[in-house]
Amino acid sequence: MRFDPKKSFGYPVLRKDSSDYVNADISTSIELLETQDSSHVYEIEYHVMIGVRDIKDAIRSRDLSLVLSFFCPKTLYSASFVTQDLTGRMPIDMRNIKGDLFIEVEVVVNSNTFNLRSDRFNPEFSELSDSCVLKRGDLVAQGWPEKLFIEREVFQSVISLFQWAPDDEMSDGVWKLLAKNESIQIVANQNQIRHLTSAQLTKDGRAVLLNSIILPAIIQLISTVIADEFDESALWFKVLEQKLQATGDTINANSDPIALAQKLLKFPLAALNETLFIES
Amino acid sequence: MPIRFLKSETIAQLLSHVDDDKDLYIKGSFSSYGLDSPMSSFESLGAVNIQELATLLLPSADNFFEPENSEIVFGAFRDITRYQAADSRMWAYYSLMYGLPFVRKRYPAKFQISNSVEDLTEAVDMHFLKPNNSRNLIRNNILARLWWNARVVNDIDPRTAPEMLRALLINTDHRAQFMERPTQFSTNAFQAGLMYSLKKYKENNKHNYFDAPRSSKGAAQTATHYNYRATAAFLNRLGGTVNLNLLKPTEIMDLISKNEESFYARVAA
Repeated sequence: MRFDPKKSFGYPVLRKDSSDYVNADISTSIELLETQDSSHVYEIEYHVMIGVRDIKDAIRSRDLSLVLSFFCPKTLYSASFVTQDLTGRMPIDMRNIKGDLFIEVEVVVNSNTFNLRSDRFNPEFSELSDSCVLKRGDLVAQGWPEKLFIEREVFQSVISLFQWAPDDEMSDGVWKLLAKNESIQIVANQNQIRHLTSAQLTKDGRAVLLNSIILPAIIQLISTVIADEFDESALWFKVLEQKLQATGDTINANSDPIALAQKLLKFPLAALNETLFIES
Repeated sequence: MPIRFLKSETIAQLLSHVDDDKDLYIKGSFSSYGLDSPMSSFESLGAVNIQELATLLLPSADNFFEPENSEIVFGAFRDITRYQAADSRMWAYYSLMYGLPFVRKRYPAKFQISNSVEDLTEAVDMHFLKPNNSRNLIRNNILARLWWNARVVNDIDPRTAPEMLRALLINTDHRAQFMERPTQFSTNAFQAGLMYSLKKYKENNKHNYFDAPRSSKGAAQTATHYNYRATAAFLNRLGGTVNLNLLKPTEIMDLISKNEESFYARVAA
């Protein structure tokens, strides 16, 4: 159901930024967790905090249920879980998901009829005399909609986003960065690309590539985000954003692109310390 | 045979060379074009049955064989994941390699030698290559469209899938009402709406339920009989206040029945 805190249902619905209830709130948190058992089955961990005792009591008594709904527009995948637990985990098969996964958290009437009551109703609902009768499926509370971005690349390294792209008009020793929607292209002539792909095959070569190509490219991309000169729908942006979220970082006007890029790439200089800089 | 994906660069090059390749699109084949080379494409886990794909029925003016061909494409790509099926690069490869005869018959006006390069490029983009747009992929790519038709009816119940495919594809507007409103129909409403269509189809495969004239005032309001557009509008309204994922599809079908009854009660009054 679309989230609109201004929408009137004719009775109080507990929502963030809505005044249907006074001194009461609902908040949710959703996290995607890896599992030990399988490379493609992950778990979604959810927490729902509800600040209205009558609603929590009615969930416990099964008059109300928590319904978590998932939908992925790219794969037409949808699933829903009906539960009485305000905290829990549920498995999700990542082979069903590509791109955005929308998650809705709603508290809904489970019994055939339900007498909604609370002393937290906004006085605007005084004609309800602190209660009203709802039917099965009616909405009682709605969390802020959540969205996860899921591409294989998000679970692989940032480096997997990079592709070599040939341009024979370029001279040996020269490369340029081309940020596409689906990939980050390093453009060079065929001869140069042969050297670069050979370098990928050795540990020393990978350390050099990481510091000479990948690191400056990531610094440049972060700088375009800081300058607000990028496309928010680009895969590379979503991957960087989600990777940074995992480390508790965000890109904002005060971000240091050099520091963030090093963190994203797990400090590339360390790769040189372990290879070319080792003192024999 | 592992499944194969065209590289993004290959798709970009194909789109920029439609003029040079015009004859291949209109009357030739891409079998010797080198699309199998590692420079142009890559393989991934999964399997495709090329022999089954080769049994696609060629459309004629009065029959596109869309239900039959949906089953064929779904059978040929039975083991791929939704993640893979949402990747336009895979469909681009198989559409070009195996879909040319089909698309020429399905959209004959778009693949004429007299067409401009711009028009042909647009058609190639739309029906073969369309990158990065999931809605257009599911709607317009010749093979992806067929696979997704079969995917959604198999999600509901593989036992009823063949007949539900025929109900879903009874006309393009009926399909669009259910498949091209992904957010609205991301709930059990999608399942219930199609099950209701199947019920009508089984009663009569020429049921007037599938005759839904459009009008600027809204077909549901002006139609003289209850039809799928009225169902779609009802589910849309209902989903604005009721969580349709809590209700079972059969419960939602009961509500659709009541809505139909009240429609005829209003008409009779």
